[in-house]
Amino acid sequence: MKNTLRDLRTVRGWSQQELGERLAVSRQAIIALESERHDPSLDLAYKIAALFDQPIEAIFENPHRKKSRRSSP
Amino acid sequence: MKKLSPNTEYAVVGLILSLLIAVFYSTVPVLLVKDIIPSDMRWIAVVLLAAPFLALHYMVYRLMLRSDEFLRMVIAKRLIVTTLLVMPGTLAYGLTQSFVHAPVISITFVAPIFWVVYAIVCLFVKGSQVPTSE
Repeated sequence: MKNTLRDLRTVRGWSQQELGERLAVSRQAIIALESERHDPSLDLAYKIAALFDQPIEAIFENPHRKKSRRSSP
Repeated sequence: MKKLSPNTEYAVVGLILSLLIAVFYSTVPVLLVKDIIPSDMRWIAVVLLAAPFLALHYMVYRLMLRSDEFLRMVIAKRLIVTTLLVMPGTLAYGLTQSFVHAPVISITFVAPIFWVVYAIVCLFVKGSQVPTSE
């Protein structure tokens, strides 16, 4: 799942280990999330959203939402 | 004493158990064949061969319990892929032993074969995602 986790982390100057500790997950989990090899559970996605104080969809791209949907018919 | 992380504990305990298995599998059959172990003490040989494997399975179970969602999923995937490879493989070879007279391999080798295949599978299965129909 495409996400902005790496950007959000580097802006704050955190290492993958540090972010893992803040989220109570392993460094491997952070690496997998950043390299899109792991789709987080809803609980972990909420934790990440809360940590960065952003809505989930601002961090994780919703693969089920059509990108080019027009607002008017 | 500092508590080991799940991964470190897994690596250290796994290495010790693998060494024990290698030592027991190379020595115990020789002791049995040469009748060095008295017949009424042969249950010790069975315990020596089986216990490290039981411990190895328990170690992986413990690692899954202590891991986060990503590692838990990866370990589950690895175990399933290993089982999918080993079970049909051993079943097919067992049938060839029975009906095509292939060389007989003791069933006691299923456990080491399982963990060798698991080690190989670990090199290839590194992500938690599964293919979906979409």
